[in-house]
Amino acid sequence: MIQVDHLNKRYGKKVAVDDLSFRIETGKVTGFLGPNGAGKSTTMRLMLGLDNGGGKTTFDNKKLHEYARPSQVIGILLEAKAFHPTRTARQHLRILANAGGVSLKRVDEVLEEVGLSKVAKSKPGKFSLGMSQRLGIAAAILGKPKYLMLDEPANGLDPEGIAWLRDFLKDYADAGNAVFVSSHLLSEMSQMADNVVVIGKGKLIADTSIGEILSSSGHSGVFVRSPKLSVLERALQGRKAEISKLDGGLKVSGLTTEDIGKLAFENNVPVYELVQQSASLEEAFLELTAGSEEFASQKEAK
Amino acid sequence: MFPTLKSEFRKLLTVRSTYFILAACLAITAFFAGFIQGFQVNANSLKDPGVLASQSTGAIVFVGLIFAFAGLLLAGHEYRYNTIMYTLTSSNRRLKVLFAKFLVISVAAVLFSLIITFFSPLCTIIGAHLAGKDISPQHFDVWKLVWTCVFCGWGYSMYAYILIMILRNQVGAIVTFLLIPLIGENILGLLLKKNSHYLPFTALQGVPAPTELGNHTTSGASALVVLVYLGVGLIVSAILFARRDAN
Repeated sequence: MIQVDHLNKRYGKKVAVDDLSFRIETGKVTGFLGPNGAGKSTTMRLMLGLDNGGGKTTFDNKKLHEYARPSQVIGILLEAKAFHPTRTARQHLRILANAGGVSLKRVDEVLEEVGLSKVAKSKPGKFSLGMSQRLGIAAAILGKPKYLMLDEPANGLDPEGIAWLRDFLKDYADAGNAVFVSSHLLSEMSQMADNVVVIGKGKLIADTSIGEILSSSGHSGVFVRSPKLSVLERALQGRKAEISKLDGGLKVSGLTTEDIGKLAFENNVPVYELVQQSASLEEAFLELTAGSEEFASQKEAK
Repeated sequence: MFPTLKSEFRKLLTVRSTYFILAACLAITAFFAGFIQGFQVNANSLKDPGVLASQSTGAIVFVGLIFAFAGLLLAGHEYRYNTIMYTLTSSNRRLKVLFAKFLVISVAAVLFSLIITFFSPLCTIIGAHLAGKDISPQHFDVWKLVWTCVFCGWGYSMYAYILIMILRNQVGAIVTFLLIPLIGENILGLLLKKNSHYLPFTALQGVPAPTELGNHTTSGASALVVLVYLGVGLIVSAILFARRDAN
């Protein structure tokens, strides 16, 4: 388990990360969400000791520098294009293998795993963003680390690549590892992540499961359509429910489909449609981070 | 420490710039020492018993400066291409990384300086032979020639290394590294006159060629001045490297 305790970081007067604490569990993919400028990348760098700041991060109760070979504990992808453009992909990985005390045989294994075997001798300066991301992922898994930390790994990947990444990360976590991944592709995140950590302006907004975050959203509820809406509405008002009119029906929050079905039956209200509506991760995200955007257009701000 | 060292050696040997710089240094040496000073030079100049030794010292003072870019780029590329984050997260101590780079650059600079120390007079001998000129018997202290040339070549690389580790900007470090000896110290030399041999690059160039400083110093004294600069520079760069954000 990765335990993050009271991380903080200032750039002059600006607080980039503000007393941030959360945990990342093994066997799960944990998504890391936040608007632009929320401090996601800074948090990741603080966790790795790349930036100096307050607080501490432990990996199975030990700080990263207490391990003899840190790259065998955590694999990172913080920037897709972090390689020398004229070294071949294989040379790039061999350098990292040397540095991490990893066998050079592993280099060809990871190139195969990420689908870059055919371009192993090519210079990555000419790689597309998607190929660069794959090379970055190869670098991250080189030391077979228990933890993976990936910053926007899906950027530049084509749909096939995104599907591959989703399956790959889920499988990696299922093997008893932990994956900590930031992404702006919320639909992907909702399919990939088990838990999410949401931050805004450097502060923790939510640290919970995907299911919890979706169900607690104001966009979740039950949609009901009936020819006797006014009767049903009066009946619902006696219950602890939030009711709003929507598309010729009612949207009810705070009650289950069973509760509403039973109530309609008791009041002789015919029901044409009764359906549970879940908020999308995007809706839940926008709701959670409202007001904590660092950069927003005037239209958004209004 | 050993994995970090292996990785740094591999970095140095897998970039084109290392080979390009080495080839440029050898070509420049061959041209000046072989063609200008051996093939084309007046035959009387070759009767000086120290002519071959002066080829070594002259070459290292010039191409040592150029070869220092290989070390500068080894560290500079890390910041330019952001690979420093991989380097730092692969090691459990930042100072290990700093020390490994120091060792790798030192080894490369020493080997290069040794090559130039012998390659330069060899080019002169070949140039003179091809032109049908005779070189007088030579008298010089081989040990002193070797250590002063190697120290000079190593010193240049260390100055470059310290600059890049402090500035962390490839272009900035290259410009600064060229401006200090070529312009900065020349202007300061006009002001300091006899004391100019206390300037970092002037002192370094005085190690293989102390007489050019007007007999104010010996090779050993100049080397001591350089070591003080390097010691202070390395301490400052180590403190900054350990305490600053990665990039």
